[in-house]
Amino acid sequence: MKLKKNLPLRNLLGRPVRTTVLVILTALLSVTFLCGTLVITSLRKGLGSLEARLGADIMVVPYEAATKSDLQNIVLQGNTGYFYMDNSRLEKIMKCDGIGQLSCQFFLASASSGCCSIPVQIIGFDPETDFTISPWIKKSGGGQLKDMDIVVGNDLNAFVGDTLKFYGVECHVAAKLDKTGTSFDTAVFTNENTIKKLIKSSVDLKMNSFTNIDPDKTVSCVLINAAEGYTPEEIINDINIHVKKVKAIQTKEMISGVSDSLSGVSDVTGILISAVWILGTVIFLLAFTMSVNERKKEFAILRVTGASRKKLASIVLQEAVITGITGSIIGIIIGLVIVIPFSSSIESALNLPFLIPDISRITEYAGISLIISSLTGAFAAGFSAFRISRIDTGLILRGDN
Amino acid sequence: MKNKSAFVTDILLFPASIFFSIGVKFIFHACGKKDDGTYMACHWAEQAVFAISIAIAVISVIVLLVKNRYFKAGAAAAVIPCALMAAVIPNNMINLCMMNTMRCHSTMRPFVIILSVIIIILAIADIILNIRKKGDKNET
Repeated sequence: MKLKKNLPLRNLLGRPVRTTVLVILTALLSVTFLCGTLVITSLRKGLGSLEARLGADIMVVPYEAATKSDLQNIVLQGNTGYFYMDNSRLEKIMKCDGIGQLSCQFFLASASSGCCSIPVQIIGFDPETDFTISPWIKKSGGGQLKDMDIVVGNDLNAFVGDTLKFYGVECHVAAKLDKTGTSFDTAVFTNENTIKKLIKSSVDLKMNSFTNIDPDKTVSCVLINAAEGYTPEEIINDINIHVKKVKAIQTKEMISGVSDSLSGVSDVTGILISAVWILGTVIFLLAFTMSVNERKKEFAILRVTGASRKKLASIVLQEAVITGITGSIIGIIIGLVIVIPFSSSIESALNLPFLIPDISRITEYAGISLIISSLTGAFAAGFSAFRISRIDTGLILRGDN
Repeated sequence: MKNKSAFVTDILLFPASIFFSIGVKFIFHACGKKDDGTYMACHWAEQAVFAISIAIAVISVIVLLVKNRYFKAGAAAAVIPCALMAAVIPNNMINLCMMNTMRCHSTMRPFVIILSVIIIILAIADIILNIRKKGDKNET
């Protein structure tokens, strides 16, 4: 029968309100699943990226910086700041046992970065000893940094070849780093000579609060990797006992707070997704049951006109699959439009490292979302399809149902 | 006979353009004033987009009110270059701030692009539906 060929679609179009409600419900399930999964994955990826970027077992900073949580604010929260310690402490740290790799870093906060009043964190490193930033620059396609060259984080609106002015000193953008989803995306990196010039210039211009700092005799922090046969804990104890006015911190401890927050956000998101899905499935079951109940006579007439029991069940299932696929596609589009363009806003709101997965992974999640949302609708309709295939035509047409 | 589909796109274009104007100015606006009271470059991008969004809103009112379907299609066509212009203003024609994490990049720009795309899609649908309409022969 020609009519039966398009019957599920015609049924759906004939009841626009019910169809719209089912499509919206499926879209809601799909958007919840996709957004929730993308947010959780992005947070996990961001945490992994932060671990990789810290890249050292131990950080040694001036004692005041550790107690005032300046270090965590700079490294984890992306706040700008600076602190310095005397070179003599570096020499004492170098004498401690178990040090495999050691490199110094210099922090400076810019007063202004070109077009805007927002300061930028400038991190200087020694290219000869560095083992945390150089591999990252290399991975992003950058080469050896010359004096007055800078490397900008991915979230800075500056590109290779641009010139940025910090404290009156013009710096040339030599490379732009890959996105990490961490506070390092808004930082500027440069070599030791350049940052010393910038520190000196900021002191000369009296634009920073420190005045009696000699850039040649100070460092901000020391990064250490433990040598084979030594544990980070042993080195930390050694430094904290034998070197005064410094604090050695294990980088794993620093990110434990971030890890805990991420776990909390993941749990809440997981509960939210489960709640929406349970609710959605129940509404689906009710909607299809009610729909089939009120259409019993319609199905009975179809049965009288020659439609098999299997055909009746297939009509109900096809209706569910059509609404499921349409709703899922709409939900996926909405989900992608919410999460991808507004990822920076989500990152700011959560205040956690946030790195959106690559396109293949996003496509995978969108596909899973489409399948699961459509199957949920089909599963909910399956029960009604089974019931409608068992109807007693005579009883229903007599009106004794 | 009234073309229901074209009527739906006529109606949808109006709230979309109003939401565009209100959104870019009050909800998804650019970065605020600097400490010294001056504005950053992104503020002027916001102003430019707001001005264009007002033009789009006025055109969408015309689309909604006029009866002639060809006039409607023509007015809807005028929305497309305006929306395209609005989409390319932030960071392409007028620079935004230094960091992509700042409000102008993270909130205003995606909002402007998404709303511009929605308005362009609605305008194209409106043109097609109005031109395809088989109205009475007296209509010009």
